[in-house]
Amino acid sequence: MKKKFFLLFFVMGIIIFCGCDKNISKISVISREEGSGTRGAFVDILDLRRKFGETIKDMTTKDSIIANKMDVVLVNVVSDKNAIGYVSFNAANSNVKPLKIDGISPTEENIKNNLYDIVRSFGIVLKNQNNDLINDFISYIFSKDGQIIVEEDYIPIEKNLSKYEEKDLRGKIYISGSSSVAPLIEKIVEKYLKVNKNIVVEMQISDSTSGILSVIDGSCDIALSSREINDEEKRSGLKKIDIAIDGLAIIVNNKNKVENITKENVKKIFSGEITDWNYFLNF
Amino acid sequence: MKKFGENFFKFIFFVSAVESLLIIILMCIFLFAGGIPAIKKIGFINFLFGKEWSPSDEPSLFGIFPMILGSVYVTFGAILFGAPLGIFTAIFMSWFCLQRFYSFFKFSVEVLAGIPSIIFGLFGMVFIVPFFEKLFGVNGNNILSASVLLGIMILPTIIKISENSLKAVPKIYYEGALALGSSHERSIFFVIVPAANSGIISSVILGVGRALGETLAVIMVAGNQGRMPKGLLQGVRTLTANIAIEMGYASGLHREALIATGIILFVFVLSINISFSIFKNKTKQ
Repeated sequence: MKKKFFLLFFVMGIIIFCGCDKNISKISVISREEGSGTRGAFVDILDLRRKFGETIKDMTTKDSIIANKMDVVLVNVVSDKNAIGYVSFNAANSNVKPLKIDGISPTEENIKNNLYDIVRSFGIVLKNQNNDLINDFISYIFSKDGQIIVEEDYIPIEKNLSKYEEKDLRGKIYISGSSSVAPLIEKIVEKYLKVNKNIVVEMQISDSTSGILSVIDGSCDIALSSREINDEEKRSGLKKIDIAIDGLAIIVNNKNKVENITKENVKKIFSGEITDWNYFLNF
Repeated sequence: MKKFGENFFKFIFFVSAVESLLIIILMCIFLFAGGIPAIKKIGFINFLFGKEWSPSDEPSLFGIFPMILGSVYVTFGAILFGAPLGIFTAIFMSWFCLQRFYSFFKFSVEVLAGIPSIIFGLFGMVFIVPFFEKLFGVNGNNILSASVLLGIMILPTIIKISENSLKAVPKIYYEGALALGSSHERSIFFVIVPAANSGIISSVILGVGRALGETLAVIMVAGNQGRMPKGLLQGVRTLTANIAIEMGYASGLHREALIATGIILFVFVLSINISFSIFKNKTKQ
C-alpha cells in the first residue's frame, strides 16, 4: 500500500514537471534581504518605496530570490542566464555583465563625475561626544593617507585634503559593524596602526545594526554602517559620518543580450512589472 | 573519606545532569521573553496566519504563514525523496550487502553524516541548482532543489537508525519465515521490515526534525522568497532561513518578530521530538 503511494506521488511529480512552462526568458530577479543596507540603499535610490495612503510599501517583487550575501548574488547571476541583481560596482567582475543605466556604465569615472547615480554612502556611526583618540582616527580617515586607501576601491567624499599628523596618542579603539564597510576600514586601520604604534584597534565584524547597537550601549566606539541611521538612533545621540561612496551596479549574466536599460525599466523589473527579457529584445 | 568521594562525584554527576536541563529552561525563557511581546504586538492570528512578511513596509507586516508552509513543503519533499532512499539503503546494508563491501558502505554513510551543512549547501548551489535550471529552464533556486538537497542530508540519520532497528529484529523471525517457505526477499520485506516498523518510523521522524532545523544549506538553494509558496519550481523561504537571513540587520519589532519565529520553530521541533519519544515508548511496550 505504502509503495503504491510513493508511486502515485512520483507520477504526480512528473506530471507537474511536464506541465510547467518552459519559457526560458523569464527574468529571475535577485534581491537582498529586507533590512540589508544594500537593499535599503537600492530601494531608496530607485524609489521603490511607494505610498498608499497611510502605508509605505517596499515594491520589490515578492518573487525575487533573496540572497543574503553579495557573493551569493554573484553566484546566482553567473549560473542563471535570466538573472538580474545588484552589487557594489567593484564586485562586478568579468563573470557578470554590469548594465548601462540610461547609457552610462557604472565605472569609477562616471560615479566620480556624478553621471552614474545609483550610489550609496558608506559611513561610520559614533556618539556625538567623543574623545581625542577617535577624533584622531577620523582625521586620519579624511587625510590624504586615508583617502588614498578609499580611492583604491571606492569613491572618496572629501576633495581638499590635509596631511595627517600623528599626535603620539595611546589607547584602544573598539570598532564593530557592517561587513560591507569592514574591508575598507581594515585597510585604513592597518595603515593607521603603522603610524601610531601605541594604539590598539579591536574590530568586530557583524552588520550595521548590531554595530550601531553596541555604540549605543557603549561597548564600542565606532560602528560601520552601510545604511543611514534612523530617527530613533539619532535620538540616542548618534551621528553618521560618510567616508566613501559606493556605486551599485545592476548585473546580468554574460549571455544576456541586453546592454543598456533605463532606470525606469530597472524599477519595473524589480517591482515585477516587467517579467520577461523579450520585452527588451523585441525592439 | 570514601563517603566524601562518593558524595562528591554524585554531586558532579548531578550538576552535569542539571546543566543540560538548565540550558533548555534558559533557552525557553530567552525565546519566550523575547518573542511573546512581539506576538502580542502583532497579534497572534496576524503573526501565525498573516500571508505577508514585509518588515520594511510602514506599517510593517509580520505574517509568517508563508514560512511555515515553506518549512512544511520543503521538509515533506525531503522526506519524500530521502525516506525511501534511506530505508532501502538500510535494508540493503543489513540484509543484502556482501560482508566484504559492508564496511565500505558503512564508512560512506558515516562520512555523509559528518559533512558540514555548508558543504552540502555549496554542493547544492553548484550542482543541484544548475541541474534543475537546465532540466526545466527556470531558476533552480526552488522547492525541488531544497527538497532534494535536504533529502540527501537526512539520509545518514534515516539509514543509521533504520539499520539498527532492522538488525535488532531477532534472527528467529527470519529463520521462521524461511522455514515457512518464503524466499529471502519475501521474508525480509514482509517479516523483518514490519517487525522493525517503529524503528524505521522513528528514523523518519528524526529525519523530519533534521530537515526542519536545517538552515545554512537551505538558504543557499531555496531562493528565500518571503511570500506564499507558488509551486514546486518556485522559490520558498523556511522558518529557519527567515531568522538567519534577516537577524543580522533587524532591529526593534523586526528583531522581536524573528525571535518569535524562533518560538514557532521551537514548538515544531519540540512536537516532533515528543512524537519521536512517544513512538519509542510504544515500541518498548
